[in-house]
Amino acid sequence: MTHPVLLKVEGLTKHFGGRPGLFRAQRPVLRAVDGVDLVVHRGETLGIVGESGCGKSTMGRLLVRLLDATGGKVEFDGVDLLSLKGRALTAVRRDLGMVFQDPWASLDGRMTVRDIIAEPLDIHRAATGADRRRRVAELLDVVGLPASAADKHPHQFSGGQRQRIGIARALSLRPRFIVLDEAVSALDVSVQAQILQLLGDLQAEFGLTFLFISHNLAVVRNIADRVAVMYLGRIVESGPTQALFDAPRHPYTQALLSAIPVPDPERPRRRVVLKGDVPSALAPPAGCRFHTRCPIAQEICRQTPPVVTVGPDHTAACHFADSPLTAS
Amino acid sequence: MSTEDILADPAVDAARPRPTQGYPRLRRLLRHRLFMTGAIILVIVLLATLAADLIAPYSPLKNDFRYRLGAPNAVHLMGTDNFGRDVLSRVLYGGRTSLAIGLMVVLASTFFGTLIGVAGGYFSRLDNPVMRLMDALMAFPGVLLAIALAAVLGPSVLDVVIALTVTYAPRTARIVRAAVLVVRRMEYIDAARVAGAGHLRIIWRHVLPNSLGPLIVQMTFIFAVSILAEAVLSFVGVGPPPPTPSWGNIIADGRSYIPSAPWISLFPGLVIAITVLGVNLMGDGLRDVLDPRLKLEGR
Ligand SMILES: Nc1ncnc2c1ncn2[C@@H]1O[C@H](COP(=O)(O)OP(=O)(O)O)[C@@H](O)[C@H]1O
Ligand SMILES: [Mg+2]
Repeated sequence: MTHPVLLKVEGLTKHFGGRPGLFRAQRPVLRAVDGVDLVVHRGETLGIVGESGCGKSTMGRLLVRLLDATGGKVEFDGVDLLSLKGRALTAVRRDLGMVFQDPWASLDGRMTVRDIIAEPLDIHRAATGADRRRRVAELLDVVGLPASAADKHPHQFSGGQRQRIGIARALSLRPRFIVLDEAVSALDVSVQAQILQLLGDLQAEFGLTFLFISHNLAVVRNIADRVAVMYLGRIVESGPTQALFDAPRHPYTQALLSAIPVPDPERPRRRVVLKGDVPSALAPPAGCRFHTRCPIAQEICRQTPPVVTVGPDHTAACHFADSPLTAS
Repeated sequence: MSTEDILADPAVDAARPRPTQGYPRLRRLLRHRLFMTGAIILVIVLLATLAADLIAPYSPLKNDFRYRLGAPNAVHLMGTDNFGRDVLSRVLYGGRTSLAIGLMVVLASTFFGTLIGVAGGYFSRLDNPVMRLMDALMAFPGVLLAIALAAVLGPSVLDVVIALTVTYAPRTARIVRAAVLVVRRMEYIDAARVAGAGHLRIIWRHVLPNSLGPLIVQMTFIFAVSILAEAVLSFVGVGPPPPTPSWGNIIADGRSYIPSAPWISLFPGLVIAITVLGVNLMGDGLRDVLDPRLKLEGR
């Protein structure tokens, strides 16, 4: 990937809880996202993988300004995204889209499909009257639904069709960057394939940039150009999909990959079995966050957070990313 | 934990509530026997009251001492009261006062209850202070609070409406808040927010329409309970003032004559009972159709 950078994330953090209210006791600080560094290139799909609760959704929500970050910096096309307010924020929202996981809860059942898809247009007063109708018809066509769908209600559609409606809505303002949070996870496998195909086509046609969040490694491998692996609010490894799946450098990535069946028996992978449970984001371990479960943890891992090792477009936050211990 | 279940389904997202869908309910409502029975009763009472000018045989206010405390007969179908006034005419006209009070209390408590409930449910910062105040108001048994307020405010239709609104709006607020808390977490709200929708738009276009179900049922409940409460307020002397009739004050006026002329209080009492029954049947029907699990706030 040699495309220019669209989104540059540095030290992004989101802490939940903490500040006490008038009638509310102080709550412990939950570090959902805790120092994420990322780069997303124009026109690529960056896959985000990790266990449930590691902060993927929170990060996605920060990047479309659904949540306010606790700290860090996000540069979107040269603009300091996190500092935007009021009009400037509303204006930049035209460039940001999001597709959600739940094809039922993400569409308001009281509205017609037309009103759902046109909602972003209405908010930005981007199209009215005949223009609005035409745009909705176009968008339905683009996501492979008949124009007659516009006057129906969401409950008249299947899960896959509803996800297409959600995609049409996300596309309505022609955004450049779209966060897809578990966008196919609620669908049947065959429907998943169709939606992934559609997403690929849309990306090629409109030059879209995707942040594709999923807990499903097979799906991410299928759609992503590059992959970032998240653990306890941090990115532990990122790199081109092929490189990361073929030669994972972080023991956590190795553990994730060793859990999925190997299609190629010529290269059997060593099973990496993790000890214990994910530590609480309320009290993340000192040093390397992964050391409590890491099969190769040494003393240094308990003391010092690992420096991210840089290969060609491949990073791994592990003290031993280059050592024979991890070379499987 | 083995690595197989390491990537189990994202439970945080899966736990989100699901929205209700579409409008298949209107047809179910029209086929709901109890609802339709209640609706017919209410329509008859409403029409009779509205047409009082046409169908009332006498003036509700005209005294005729020749016929004091007359038993029901062919001329005075519901008899006459201690001033010789025709009870049927007074019941027909009194319905205007009682139903108007019910309607005004429903409108006012729905308006304020919704405002407060949305404020608390949607804006988490307001939730605690606002709802603690509502809890404080609800700590009093409903009718007692209304009596105390009406006694302070004085006897007039408007004061009765205010007293009952202060009493029932907090109950509406609680119900609306509960509905809003669920709707607020829907992903379609997030979708609107990503697109740049403001709070007012989100509340108006998404939160309110999706919180209406429980609210409509609550409105029928408040209507019925206000009609009853008007009678209670009249009975303790803080209801709508005579001589303008209301169902409550007709009953209250007749109470000294119950041994000798029970019809004075009996007929308006029956009409109240029938009306409340009709409204409650409608409420039950609505609840069946809108949300079978919904529980009403008690009195
Ligand atoms: N609004 C919130 N308030 C408090 N905690 C939250 C909130 N949203 C998410 N969290 C917590 O943040 C952590 C990360 O959650 P999330 O980003 O949803 O993870 P993922 O999408 O990877 O499953 C979890 O521990 C979750 O409980
Ligand atoms: Mg998630």
